[in-house]
Amino acid sequence: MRTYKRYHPVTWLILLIPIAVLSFGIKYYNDNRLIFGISAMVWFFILMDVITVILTYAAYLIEKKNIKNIKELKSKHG
Amino acid sequence: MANNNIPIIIVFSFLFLVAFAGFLSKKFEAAKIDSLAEWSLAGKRFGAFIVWFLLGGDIYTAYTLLAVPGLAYNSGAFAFFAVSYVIMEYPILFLTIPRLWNVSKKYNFITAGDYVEKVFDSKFLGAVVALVGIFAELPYIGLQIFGMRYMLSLTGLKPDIAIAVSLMIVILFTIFSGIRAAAVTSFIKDFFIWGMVLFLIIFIPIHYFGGFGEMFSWLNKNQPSKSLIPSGGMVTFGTLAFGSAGALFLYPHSINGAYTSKSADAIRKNAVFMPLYNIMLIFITVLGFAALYVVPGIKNSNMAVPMMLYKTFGPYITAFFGGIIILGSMVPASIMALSSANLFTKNIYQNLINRDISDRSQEIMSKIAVGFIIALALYLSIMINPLLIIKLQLIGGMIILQLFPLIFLPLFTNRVSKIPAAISVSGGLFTVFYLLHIVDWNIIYKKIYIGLWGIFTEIFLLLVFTFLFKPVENISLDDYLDA
Repeated sequence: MRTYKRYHPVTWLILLIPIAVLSFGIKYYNDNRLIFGISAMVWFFILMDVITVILTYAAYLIEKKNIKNIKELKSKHG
Repeated sequence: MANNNIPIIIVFSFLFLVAFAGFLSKKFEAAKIDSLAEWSLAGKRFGAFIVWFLLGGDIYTAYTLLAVPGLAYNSGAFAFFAVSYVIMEYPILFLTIPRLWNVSKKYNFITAGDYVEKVFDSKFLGAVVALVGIFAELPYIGLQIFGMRYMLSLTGLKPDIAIAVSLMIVILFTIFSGIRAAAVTSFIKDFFIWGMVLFLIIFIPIHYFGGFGEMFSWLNKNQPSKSLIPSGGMVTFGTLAFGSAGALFLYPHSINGAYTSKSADAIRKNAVFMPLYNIMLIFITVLGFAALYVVPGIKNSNMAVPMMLYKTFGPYITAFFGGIIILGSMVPASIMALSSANLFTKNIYQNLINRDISDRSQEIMSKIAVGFIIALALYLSIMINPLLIIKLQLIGGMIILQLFPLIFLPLFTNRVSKIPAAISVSGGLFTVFYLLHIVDWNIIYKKIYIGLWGIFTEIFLLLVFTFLFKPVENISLDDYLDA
């Protein structure tokens, strides 16, 4: 069983997605067209909030398993 | 503007509600012993639900409620940088603060300065964290006072009297109940603020424009430059958002809020669900666009939303909203003062003046410091021009970001030791102040947030000096893992 004392690589990857998209994707979401009566940029930020919840929850599950594995290894090896 | 007593009664009703809840909160998750950790961290016993409100109280302050729509009023869509940075901040929270919590639990740290002192075996670096933290918090508390002042100026109440009363309540309930006061009042604050924002975001667009679509159509047609981030401002937008996200959980009040958690897992759960809180910030920003139509031509953009409320609802309802904003100022002011007081007691007084101070004396010292810090922030907010306080707060954000090699980096590696860390932080702080001087105390240099120029310098210096020194071994990587 592989464990990580920092974080699982997938945790790093999925948590960096919102940061990268928000920092470097500005020209793609800088859009004032109306979608269902609301600015596309406002929709984008609402969507990013929801996506960040989903991605962070995925990271939470991965790390929960990682922590469990570390505890099991610790108990096996004293 | 209103000239009868009803707005005064409304505002004071809120103050007494907060005072009542604040004093009663001493019984909440009651302390078993009197100590600094019990008073300021509630013995690290708060669950994820309470911490969610406490962090919300920390992050979404009254000043946010006025300044972010004010920025939207002034600079249009650029104001969404605040929304962007708060979304980015939660992955950073997930990655860093649970590890800091684990090590703090193991070694009974109360402040981030305690951690830095232990990890680098340096009282000096612990004191640097304390000094930078207190410097950054003072104007932040000052801004909360401005938030109160802006709203009170519309209620017919003499702002100075109401501010003095509300700050006195903050000092007293913080001294009496510690962090529990902020936790309990956070519930009340959120109940009213969420209610207010949801009501306004539905009512204002329908009342003035006929609906959301009409409001955004009006913005696109009449204020096209404000409906988009200017093409020349995208790098500034991105770097400002990223830098601000990096800084937020280096602030003492954010760390203090997270330290109250009963486990690292509770903090992770908050990192997962806090972005939902951020949807409110999107709504608040949009209110700034509505204010462009409702109250055009306001010079002090921070007054845009208060003026819009006054024009729409008149003095009584504005006083009600004013009471909510004041409530939203008192919670963060309490946590900010408390966390600064702890830094002073633990990392300046205990480290540099009296090593043998007892736990009980530490608590008393911190309680005295709370009063002193709030009084100092009040003095600053009276004596200093509001624009200077805002500038000081922005500078505070830049310098707190420079603590990254001291607080965040050692959470992941023991390779960086005391001297490279001290050199890099000195270099980062020097870069920030040098560039601020060059650009006449603006926050942007060559389109990039100055705080990030400081980080670039720090990374360069770390790469040059780190491998010349031995790794630190005071804390092992195992100490950062969940027990």
